[in-house]
Amino acid sequence: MFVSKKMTWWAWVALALALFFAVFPIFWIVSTAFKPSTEWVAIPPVWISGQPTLDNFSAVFISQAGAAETAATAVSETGWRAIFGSIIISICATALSISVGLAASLAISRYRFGGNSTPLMILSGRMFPPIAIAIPFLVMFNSIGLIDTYLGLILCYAAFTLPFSVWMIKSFIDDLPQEIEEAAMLDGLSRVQAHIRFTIPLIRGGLISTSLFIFILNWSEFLFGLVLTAKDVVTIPVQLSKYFAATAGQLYGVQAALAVVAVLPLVVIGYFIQTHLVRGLTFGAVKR
Amino acid sequence: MTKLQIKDLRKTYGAFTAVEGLDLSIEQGETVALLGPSGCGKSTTLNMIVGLTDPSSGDIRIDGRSMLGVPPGKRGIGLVFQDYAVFGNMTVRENLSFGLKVRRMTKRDIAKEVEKTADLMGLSNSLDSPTSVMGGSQLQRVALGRTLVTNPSILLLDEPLSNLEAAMRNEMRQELRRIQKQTGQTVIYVTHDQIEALSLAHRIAVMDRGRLVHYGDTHEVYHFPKETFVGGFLGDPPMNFLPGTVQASQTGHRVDIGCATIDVEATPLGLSLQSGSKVTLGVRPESIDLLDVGATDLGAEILLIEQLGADTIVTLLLGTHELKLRSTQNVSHHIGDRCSLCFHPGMVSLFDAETGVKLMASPVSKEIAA
Repeated sequence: MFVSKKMTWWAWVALALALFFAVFPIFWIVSTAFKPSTEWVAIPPVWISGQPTLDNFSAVFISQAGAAETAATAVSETGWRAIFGSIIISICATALSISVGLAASLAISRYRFGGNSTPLMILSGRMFPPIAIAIPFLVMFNSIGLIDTYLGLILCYAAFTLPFSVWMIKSFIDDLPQEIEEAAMLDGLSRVQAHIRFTIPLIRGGLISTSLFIFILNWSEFLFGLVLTAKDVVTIPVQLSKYFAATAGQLYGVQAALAVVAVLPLVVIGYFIQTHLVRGLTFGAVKR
Repeated sequence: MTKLQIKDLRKTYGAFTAVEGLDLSIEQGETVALLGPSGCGKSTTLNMIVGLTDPSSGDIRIDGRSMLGVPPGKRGIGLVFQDYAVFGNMTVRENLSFGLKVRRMTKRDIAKEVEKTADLMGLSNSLDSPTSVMGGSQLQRVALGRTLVTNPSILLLDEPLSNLEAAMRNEMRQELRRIQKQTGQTVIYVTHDQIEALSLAHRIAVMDRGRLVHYGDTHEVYHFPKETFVGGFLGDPPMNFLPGTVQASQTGHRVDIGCATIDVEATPLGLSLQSGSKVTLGVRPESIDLLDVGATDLGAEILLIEQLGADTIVTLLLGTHELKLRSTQNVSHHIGDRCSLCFHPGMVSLFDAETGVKLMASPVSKEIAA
């Protein structure tokens, strides 16, 4: 494609606007995380704090019981439990979603299971507003004792991200010529062996990018985490909403600090697997 | 010796019949082309032979042993796919040795066989190249080599040349012929390209809408098709068809095509034709001679003359019917000229006007002559 080296002024304006919308909230969160409580909602706004502090982070990581009473120390609980909960739930739910999604996509793509209607049926759960699904989940989970358990959230998250795994993985499998598996079968492998030796390794890039996508969905999910938990289990997004003190209102600085901590693993993973990500997302993993 | 025997093979998908009552037998060392338009059931047939699709009924026997229920890897069949299906995550050497590894051959034997096959396929220099960077004809060689290395008792090729450019296609066609000669492989070649079928195969099986329409040697299938479909599908330009009515005469039969009558007595009748029955008369473009006006009763007008290098294709108007004629000689006539035609004796086929099935044709006379 021919791209002009010279950008016109309106292209610059459009790009600057888009960048502003994308980057400013991130900047604001990072900036707030280092602000003392007096600057959180100061008017006029403080863009970058003159007296940067790590108080917000220590409120997230270190118990503040007995510390001098400030807005930041008003938090009742550190973020550790939420971080642990998010890690366990996101990893397990992603693994479950991808495993089931892979099996389902193979069934749909290679064995034409259920004809053309199955993929759409799988997607139908996503057509409702999440809150409409959350209520029946709550009722069901309540009756089988899954409320406020890790298992409950793992199952719920896996079920809720499954449509994405199925549709994404299915598109990668569809792109892979079926003849590769047939050739392997002619060489003496069984159907399942052919999938394990060829189908799965050949869509590896796609599986990795799908996993990351699903992981991000799970990591940042809020509604189900809020509705289906009580006091034992908490995830980062839910914990963020809990950083609220009767004396100080919303603890924006502490929330920002936990948010910064929460985004780090995604940035790191994203950086290391970006080659896979690009290959996976361009759907060019297989040469025909 | 019969290598492959297919008996009353049938495949249906719900109400749709993909393959209907197919009978076919292939001899050891023979190359048979499965020819037909898209959707005629040739790929389904191939998949059933290989074992990737289970037949609805019927039997497939290789060396006399029924293959029903035998998994693809255990049939001793090699298949080269249209899209090559080369393992893109492996080098050429890994591709070639994969099937042997699965068969648990020793490392030394694998290396030996791979070298031998690479040599045959002209891949010796690129054994360690990744296949992901290779082009069409190279991938084709890898795919063929990967199949040949396992020494299959039958080699199936599914439209192996359709993804190549014209020049490459000719080269690979010669290559395939050479390899077949060298290895003495039994080959089943699936194609919709008649040139490939005619040039590579000993026998051709023409399929149409799930049926085997004609199975015979290339000469017979080309010149004396069993149905109008075969005559129309094979040949470029295809066989000419003229609707007519049978007239009994003392010497044999004549066919009235409206503007003239054509003697068919040169071909003794295996069937007695009812006088007045409707028939379709078929004649190949190269079985018609172009003569000066008045030389025969068949007067025609020249509509178009196409010079195609060695050949000339002449489009004629005979009565109300358009005909194509192929001549290897220089045509001295001009567009718009009147001329006379002569159909080569013994090269005219008669088909039932309704069903398109051959009523009688020259193989009868050929057999009698022989």
